[in-house]
Amino acid sequence: MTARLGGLLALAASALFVAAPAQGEEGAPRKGGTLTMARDSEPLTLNPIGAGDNGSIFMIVQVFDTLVETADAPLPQSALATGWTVSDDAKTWTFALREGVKFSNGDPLTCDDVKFSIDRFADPKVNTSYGGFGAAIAQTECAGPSSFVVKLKAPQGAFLDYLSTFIPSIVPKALYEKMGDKAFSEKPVGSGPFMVKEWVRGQRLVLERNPYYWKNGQPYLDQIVVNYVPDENTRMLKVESDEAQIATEVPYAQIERVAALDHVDVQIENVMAWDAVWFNSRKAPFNDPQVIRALNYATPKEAMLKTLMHGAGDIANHVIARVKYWDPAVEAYPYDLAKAKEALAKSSAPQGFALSCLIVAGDQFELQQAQILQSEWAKIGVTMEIQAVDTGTIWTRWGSGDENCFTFTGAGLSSDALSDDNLAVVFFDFTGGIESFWTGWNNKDAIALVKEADGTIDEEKRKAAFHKLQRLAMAEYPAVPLFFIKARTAVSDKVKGFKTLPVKWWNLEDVWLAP
Amino acid sequence: MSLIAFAGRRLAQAIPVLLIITVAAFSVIHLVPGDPARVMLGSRATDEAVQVLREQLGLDKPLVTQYLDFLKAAMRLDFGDSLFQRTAIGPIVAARAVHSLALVAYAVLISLVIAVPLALLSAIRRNLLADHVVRALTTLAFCMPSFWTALLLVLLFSIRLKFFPTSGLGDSPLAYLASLTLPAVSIGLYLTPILLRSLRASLIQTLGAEFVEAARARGFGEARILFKHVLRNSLIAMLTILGINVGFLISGAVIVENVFSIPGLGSLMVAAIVQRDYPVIVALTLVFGVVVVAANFLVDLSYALLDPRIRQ
Repeated sequence: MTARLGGLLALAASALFVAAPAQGEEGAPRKGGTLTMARDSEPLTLNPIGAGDNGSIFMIVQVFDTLVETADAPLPQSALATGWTVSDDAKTWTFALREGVKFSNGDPLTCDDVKFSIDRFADPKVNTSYGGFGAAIAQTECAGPSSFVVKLKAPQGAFLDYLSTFIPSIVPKALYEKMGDKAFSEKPVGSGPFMVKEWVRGQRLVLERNPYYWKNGQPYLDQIVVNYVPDENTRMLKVESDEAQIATEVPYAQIERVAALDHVDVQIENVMAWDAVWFNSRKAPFNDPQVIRALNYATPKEAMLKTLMHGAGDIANHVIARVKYWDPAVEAYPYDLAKAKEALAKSSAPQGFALSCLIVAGDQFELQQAQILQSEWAKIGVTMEIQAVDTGTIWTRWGSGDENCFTFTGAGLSSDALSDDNLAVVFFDFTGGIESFWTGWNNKDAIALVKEADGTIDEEKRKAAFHKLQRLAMAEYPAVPLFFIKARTAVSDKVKGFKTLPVKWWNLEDVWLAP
Repeated sequence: MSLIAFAGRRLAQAIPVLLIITVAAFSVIHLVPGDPARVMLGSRATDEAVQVLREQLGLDKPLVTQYLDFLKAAMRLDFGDSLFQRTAIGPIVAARAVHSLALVAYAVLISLVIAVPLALLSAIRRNLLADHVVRALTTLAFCMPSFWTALLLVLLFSIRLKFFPTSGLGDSPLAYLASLTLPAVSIGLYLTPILLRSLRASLIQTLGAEFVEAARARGFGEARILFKHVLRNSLIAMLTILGINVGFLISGAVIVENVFSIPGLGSLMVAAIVQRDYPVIVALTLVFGVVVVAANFLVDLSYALLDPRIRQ
C-alpha cells in the first residue's frame, strides 16, 4: 500500500542494519538461465511516474536506472551519475554523467534524457502522486554533454535519497514523447539491467537481459519470468515444486515448513516496513498521552512477535520504520499491566473507555493481532470493537477524521526513500498535507524538528533532529507501535546473490543461477 | 415452430432484459454517495484532478446523454480506462473472459461426465449399495470448501505426482489445457453433486412414468428405454440448474481463480471492488448480466431441442 499513500511514504535503511549475507557468495557468478519468481502482487503500470504500488515499483527498478541508486548502503550509490558536487549553500548539485550508457533499444543516453526525466519528476502536475519528492527542485540544466546541474529552491537534506527512488528514473526523451504516457507505460524502454519482453496482465511479466547494460558483465540472467500468484499457499507450492525459484511474502505460519524443505531457504531480511495501531488525537481520550502510554504498556509485543510472527520481526521502538537516522537506544514500551493501569489512572479516562478500531477485512494475521489487543486491553478496562472493512473503505474512513483507531496490514506501510524525511513529513508534520497520517497529531516541536532536518545537509544536525523526533513521538504520538516487519522470501538453493534491499525491492542484476 | 424461430423469439425477449442490465450497470457509478469522481480519487485529490476525471467520465453531461453514450460505447466494448491498471478495460476483460469461459466449460464437461453416469447408476440401483456410495461421495465432495479441495488436488497431482503445474496458465494449447485441469476438477467437484442429485431425482420420477412401462410392454430394450426415453425426459431440470450455475461460476469462481493464479473475471471483480475501480465494476456488471442472459438462452434452446413441445 505504498501505493495509496502516494509518495508520501518513504523509508530508509539504517546504517545499523546488518546486511544479511547474500546467498552463495561461493564461486564466480555464472551467466545465463531463466529465473522464475512467484510474486504476491502484479504491476499496474511500468511508467516510473504514475506508479505507486509495490507490484509496479519493484519491476520498474529492474527496467530503469537512476542517477544514484539504492543498494545495501544507507547512502545512495553512484549509478548513471559517477559522482557529484554540491555548492556551499547546498542549493546547487552538479552530477557527472556516466559516459557511453545506452538504452535497451541501443540509443545513447544523453543529458537531454536526464533533464527531461528530472524535470518530469520535479513537476507536480506530472508527478502527481510523489510531488513532494521533487518539490525542492527549482531548475535543471545540462552544463555539458555529461554535466547535469540541479538548482534547488532551498537546501534539502533528503535530495539524494529522493533521487535514488524509482520516480526520477531516466527515460528516453524522444521515444517517450513519441509513444506518449499510455503506450510507454505498457512497453517501456530504460537503461536498467533488464527490458520488458512480454507483459500479460494478471499473469506474468517477462524480462530479458538488456544487452547494452553498463554494469560490467551484468546482468547474469538471460530472462526473468515474474508470475503473479496472489494466493500465499499456491506461492509456496510454486517453489516447493520448483516451478519457481523465488516466492515472495512467505506467510509467517509457513516459515518453518518452507525453510525445512531440502532445496529451499527462507531469507528473512530487514526492510523499511512496520506495523502499528493508529489513533485519532482529535477525539477524546486519544488526545491524552497518558491514555496512549497505557495502551502501549498493555500490549504484549514480545508474545505477539513469537506466536503470530514466528519471530520474523523486531519490536518497534519508533512510530515509523527503522530508517537511516533510527536511534536504537530509544526504549520500546515493555509489557507491564501495572504501569498501564497506573498511566490510565492518571489519565482523563481513569475508568477505562470503549473504542472501535478499523482493520483490513480478510487479513487473518491482522484479525488475530486485533483480537489479542482486544483481550489484553480489556484487562485495563479498555473495550475494543473490531470493525473489518475493505481496503478502499479503510482509507476513506480513516481519512475522514471521524474514526477512533485503525491498523493497516504490516506489509502495507513501507518507505521508498532511504532517509527518514518523507515518513517524518507524512507522520509527524501536521502541516505536511495529511495531518500527521490523519491522526491529527499537531505538535509544534515535531513540526519544527521535521523542518530543521529537511533544511540541512549536515548529517550530524539531521541525525540529532531525527533522534529528538523519535523520543518525542514515542512519548506523545497517538499510536501503539508494534513491529518492524521483515521481508520473508522463499529462495531456491540454485539462486545466488539474491537479496532484499531495505526499500524491499531487489537488484536482480546481481542474481545468478547455479548449475 | 422451427427451432430458429423459437431462438429468434427468445432472443427478442432477452432484449428488454439486456436493456435493464445496462441501466443497472450504468447506475453503479451514480449510486456512489457524493461526487463519483471525488470518491474515486480520494480525499486528497485536487479540484483540478477531480474536474479532469469528471470530464473524462462524462459526468458533467445530462444523465440521459451519459446513458446513451455509455450504451453506444458498450456496444463497441469500449468501457474506458481502468483507474488502477491505467489501460483500456475492454481488452483486459476480453482476455480474462476467455480464461473464465474455458475454465467453466471444462468444469461443466467434467461434472457432466461424472454426474450423468453416476445418476443413472444411482437411479437404477435406487436405495441399494451403489446408490448409497454415490450419494455419500457426492455429499462429501459438495461439503469440501473449494480452496481445500483445490489444495488437496495440487498436493497430490502437482507436488507428489507432478502431472500438472501447481498454478498459472500454460502457453501451448496442451499446456493451457493441462493447467486448467485441476481448477476445472475443483469446480467440477462442486458442481457434480448438484447436477447429480437433480438428475437422479428426475430419473427416478421418470422411471416410474406410464410411458416407460408402455415402452417396456412394447418390448424395447432397457438400454434404449433408459437413454432414449428416460434420460432425455429427465435432463430438463438438470439443465436449468446447470444454466444458473454457469452464470454464477463465470463471475464467482474467485477462490479457485486465486488458488490457481488464473486471471479470470471473478478475481478481477473482487480486485476492482477493493480498489474502487468503478469503470471496471461497471463493465463487469454488464458482462456478468449478459453472461447470465446468454446462459439462460442456451438452456432454453436445449429445452427446445430435448422437448419439441416447448417450441409451441
